[in-house]
Amino acid sequence: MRPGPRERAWFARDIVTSVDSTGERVLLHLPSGTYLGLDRSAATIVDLLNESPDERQAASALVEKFGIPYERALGDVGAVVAAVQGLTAQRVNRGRRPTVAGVRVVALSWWRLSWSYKWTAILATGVMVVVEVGLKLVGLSRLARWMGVPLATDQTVPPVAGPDDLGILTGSEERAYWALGWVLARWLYDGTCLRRALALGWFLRRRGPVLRLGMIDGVGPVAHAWIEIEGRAFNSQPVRGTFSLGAPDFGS
Amino acid sequence: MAEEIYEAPQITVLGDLTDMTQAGKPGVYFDMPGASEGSKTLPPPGTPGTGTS
Repeated sequence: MRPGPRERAWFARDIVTSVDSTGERVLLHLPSGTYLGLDRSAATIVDLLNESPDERQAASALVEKFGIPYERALGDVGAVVAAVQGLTAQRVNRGRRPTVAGVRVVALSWWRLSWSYKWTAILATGVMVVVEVGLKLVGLSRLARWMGVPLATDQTVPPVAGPDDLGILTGSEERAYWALGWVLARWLYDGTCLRRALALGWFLRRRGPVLRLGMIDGVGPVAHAWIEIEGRAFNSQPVRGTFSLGAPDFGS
Repeated sequence: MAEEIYEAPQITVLGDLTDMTQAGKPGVYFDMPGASEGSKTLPPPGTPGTGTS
């Protein structure tokens, strides 16, 4: 963790929130790509700021709601703004170093594929390189938009977990689906759901896919990314809720 | 009805987007239909790309 620049302007569009399996609020700051855990007070302040970015107005609302001194409320609001905009998580997973033996195994494996799969696997590799560079250099919102699978931030019911419905895909799309899985299984970085969602979204971009994020239900602080096309989710998992703009309404 | 108590806000860093967005089906080995190397065969632990999906 390292402190970043303290820009005091609050932009609600930079922030999406959800809840984890314990019911605790989780915030994703999109420009920095950092997940933050919020206690109840912090979540309340974030919601107030999302309604109105004026720190004094949020402090007044805290005073009215909890009967605390105004100066304390204003200080807490300022602390939340500084923390959300300044806390940044360092990326830990830096991938694997390729070995000669590993390259040989992958090359042989690729050579055994049919020609149509060979070419699709090369294309999928190129897409994964773009995804990898994008994840290092630009924010998720921009990268997702560039890949043709914009991040959806509306509140929606989490999808039912189940196998992907490949029946709606054309032959070339289905080939891309499998080729991408083949590449991800051999990729230098973990073939995570986020990488899969961005790359698959690019292959299926003509269908107008959207990227969604949520906290996995029942396994600590782990998030999940998937895409949705025409109401169908690809790589769906049981999530507690989806990340969305504004205060979430989780129902239960 | 209990009155809501206010405490100083606490914010914790959970992790980086790329590291933490990694849920999936551990150990699932993707392969293409008809691949001659033996599709659906689970690789040994630690094989690149099989930690998460």
